[in-house]
Amino acid sequence: MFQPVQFGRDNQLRTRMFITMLGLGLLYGLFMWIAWQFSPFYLVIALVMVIIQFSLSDKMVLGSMRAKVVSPADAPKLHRMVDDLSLKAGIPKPKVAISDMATPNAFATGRSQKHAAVAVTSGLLNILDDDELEAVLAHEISHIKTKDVVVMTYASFFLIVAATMSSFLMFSAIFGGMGRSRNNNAGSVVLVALLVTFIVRIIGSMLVATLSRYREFSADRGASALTQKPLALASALQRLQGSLVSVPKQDLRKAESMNAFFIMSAVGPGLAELFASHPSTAKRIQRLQQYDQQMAFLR
Amino acid sequence: MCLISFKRTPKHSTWPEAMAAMARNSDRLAQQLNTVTTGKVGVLVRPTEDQSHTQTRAELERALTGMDRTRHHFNVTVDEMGHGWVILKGEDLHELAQGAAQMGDVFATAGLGDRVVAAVFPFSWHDSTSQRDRPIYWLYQPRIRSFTPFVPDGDPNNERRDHDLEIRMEAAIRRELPTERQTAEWFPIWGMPV
Repeated sequence: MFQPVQFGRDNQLRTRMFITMLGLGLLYGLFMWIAWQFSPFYLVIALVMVIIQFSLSDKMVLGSMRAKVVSPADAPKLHRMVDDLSLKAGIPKPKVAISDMATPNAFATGRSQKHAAVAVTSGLLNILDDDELEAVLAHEISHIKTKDVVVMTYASFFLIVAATMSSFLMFSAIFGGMGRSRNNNAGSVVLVALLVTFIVRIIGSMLVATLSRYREFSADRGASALTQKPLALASALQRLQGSLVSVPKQDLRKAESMNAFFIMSAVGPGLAELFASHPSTAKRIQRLQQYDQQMAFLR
Repeated sequence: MCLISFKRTPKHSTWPEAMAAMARNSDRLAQQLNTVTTGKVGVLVRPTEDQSHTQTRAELERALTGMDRTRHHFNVTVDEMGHGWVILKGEDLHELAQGAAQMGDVFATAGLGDRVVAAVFPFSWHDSTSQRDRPIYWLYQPRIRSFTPFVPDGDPNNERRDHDLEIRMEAAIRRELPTERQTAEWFPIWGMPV
């Protein structure tokens, strides 16, 4: 009997994801409690708005990327690859969509495995070879298999609630008269609530971005297990990133004479990385190379 | 394994350690990766700001009086960008790496140590798919104390690289050679006289 491919356990990655999710849970719990104490009215309104927004998210994502669902007759190669990969992953075949955007990219969406879709841009189809395309599709199918879309939706739910609340509070602070609390000290209540939403947004954004980066590593690992070709994904990432960023074009002799360049290089990626939803391509390629070594050892 | 620290210590080697690693792995490079030395190694030295080509050459020649010329055969040249090259010739990779190690000592003694940009080991790799021999370079960069791969793709005048092959080569040899995994450090050198 056919057995779906198991991705194997990366305990270190799972522990990090668990700690990040625990941190998010604590942060959101604290936020809900404080928000309820200071401005329950705005909290309820924000919750309702975000729930409505999320229930429509599937169609909104495909629409915003100008992606259209295509039939096997329209895109036979793409469908064949998705057929094969979803069978190996042991999930129902997702819908296949193509976006007419020139920027090479791919994404997965859907609130569950049954309602999932995999989309690629026409720019991506133009620049990748078959192995690389299969590797990218395997990465997106791994996201569907591990329910990453759902996890990330829940992880960012209260972040959007906090953002919506802070908009209400700003509006209230500017125009006054609303959000009066029990102790009748409206000004300070609004200020405290604004401060809390601001802190939640900063810390929450960092934690959600951290979790997202871990899920990307996890999907890379899943894709490697599905295709058994980690280097094909590394190659695709290299292409997507563009040689200017990932591999220097500048001759070593010219680079050596520019001290400032090396100072930047020595300092490292800095604060921006804390809020990045994806790990750096170099780090992903490094891990994919490790997976390849592990697989070569097992072959 | 530490739970919080997410970074691993990269593998780095000093000049003599790196040259010793290259010498040690000559068999592996030849037999398992099908990469055969071209019988040369180039040491690249940056000129000072106001140095002419003639002055750079003369400075290198002076420094190299410390090299044992009975054991090592080499010549000095200056490229279009004004950088000095000492090109060492040898029978095998072991001999070349030993020569490059000694050259490092000689340059350090002459006070040129901080101007050595790279040691370049050119190889020829037989591509069984296209049935042709292709050039592959391993660059040891003292600044990052690691080797980086450089594989030109097709006509060098087009300045195109074969990143896929660079990735595969690095992955295949990283256990033996101190390589740099951050591809942002994989600089090319075009128009090398080696």
